[in-house]
Amino acid sequence: MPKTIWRGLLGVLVLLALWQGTAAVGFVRPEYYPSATRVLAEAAYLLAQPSFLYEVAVTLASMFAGLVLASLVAIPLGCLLGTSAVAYRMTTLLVETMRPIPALALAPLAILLFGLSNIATVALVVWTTSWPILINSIYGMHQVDPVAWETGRSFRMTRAAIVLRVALPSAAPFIATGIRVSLGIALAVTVAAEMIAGSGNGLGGWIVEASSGGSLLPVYAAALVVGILGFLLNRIVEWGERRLFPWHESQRREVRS
Amino acid sequence: MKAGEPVLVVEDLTYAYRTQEGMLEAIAGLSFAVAEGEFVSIVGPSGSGKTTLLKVVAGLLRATGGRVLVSGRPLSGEVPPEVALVFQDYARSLFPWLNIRANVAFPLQAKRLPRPEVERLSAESLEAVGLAAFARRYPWELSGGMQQRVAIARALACRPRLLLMDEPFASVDAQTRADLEDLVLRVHEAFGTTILFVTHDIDESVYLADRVLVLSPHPARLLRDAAVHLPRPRDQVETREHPDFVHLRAEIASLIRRPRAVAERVESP
Repeated sequence: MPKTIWRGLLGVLVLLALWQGTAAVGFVRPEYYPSATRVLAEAAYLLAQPSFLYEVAVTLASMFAGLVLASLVAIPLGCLLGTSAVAYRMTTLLVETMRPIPALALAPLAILLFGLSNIATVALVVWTTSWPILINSIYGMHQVDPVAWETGRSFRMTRAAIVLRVALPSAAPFIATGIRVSLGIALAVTVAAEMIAGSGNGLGGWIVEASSGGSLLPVYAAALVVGILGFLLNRIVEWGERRLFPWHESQRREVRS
Repeated sequence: MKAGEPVLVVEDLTYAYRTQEGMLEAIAGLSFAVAEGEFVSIVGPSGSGKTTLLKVVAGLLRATGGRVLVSGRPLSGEVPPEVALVFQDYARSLFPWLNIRANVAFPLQAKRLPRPEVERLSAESLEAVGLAAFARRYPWELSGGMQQRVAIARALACRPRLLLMDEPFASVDAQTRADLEDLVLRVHEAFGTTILFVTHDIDESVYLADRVLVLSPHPARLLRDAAVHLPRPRDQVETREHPDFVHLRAEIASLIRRPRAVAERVESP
């Protein structure tokens, strides 16, 4: 484990060094291309400002609200489509067509429905995150072992009981993957949505305001903060997956024969 | 359910399924009965429809002809409450997200039994298969033989009247298989469960049973319903040397091989 951390850090350090180096040469004006050290310093400064931290909290809240709403819709729907061949056939074309539509293309619609607001932001996050969760839920249900199904039937369980107590736990690691994947996109979409459909708050709103100033330094610093947030969130979800699904093959380190 | 009535009656059972070439008959008119407490083996070559037969008897598949009566009642499209199954593929049948105790207790919870009852029945079942110490472990932490023992404990937890076992020891090594065979015999003795045991292993079918049903290769027909008069308790070494064992085993082996010889004679001009 430590080895991979060192290798990862090395990559980051190399990037930072390149950044610092190219900035120092001065091809681009420092207001538009500040050096790595200045950006890091600015980021550290911002993270100590309550007003900035508040916007970070707003963004995270919108993101989680969107994720939770998306899960509430996509997971049950995925369970249904994953266990009913008829329902799946009826909807698969629809899903394949709607899924590639980027949230930001729907921003005007969101603004129309909800005005420039946090709700519009959340709506766009719900749109974006629903698809990976839905598709992974369907896939997870398809992966449920037929022997496990038969075992449930041999216990005289109703179909609903089998879906809830056998299929769903079995599919849970796949569903979690869907959530982790959408988490990565969710943060980016939340910030972008705040920039064009939000009411001026959150990190997106903050970036828009900061970019109208003379220097791009705060914008770079905010972007860095977003990146770090995304990294941390991903790590947390992975940790959660390890805690929740130690029994899944992907988590087990050794299997006795 | 009258006293003395057979636990299982199979009358003229046929099972056919649709393939690209048309209807394929897997079972062609099987009839037999199993009395309370009997241990009956079903033996036949691979692909002879043994597993299909077991699934029809269990109620997982619907017969296309004839009927099946469990405790005197005809099957109604679902598994009867007094029936429990042990599948061949234990690794795929046990639930990996539950520990051993929870796996064994699972069907009891599906029946909505009260908590203390569930605890007692699952503890006793685990005890009966010798895995009481592993209650908190997870299936993947156990060897294949132990996992199959958990599957057996889980089937026993409901105290079934009829236990159906589908080639349960086909996926374990010979040593483990011998241990598991003796375990099943002990369980049969202790719980008095009626057992229908499907296997492709002729030795195993004779060693375990009171009666052996010999199936022909597909489509499955009953070639022989042989009573086994070997003394109980059975012993892996002594019983297998017993002249009756050797004789019956040879008889069944030639029965299973003979249909192929008949087919060859018919095919050649």
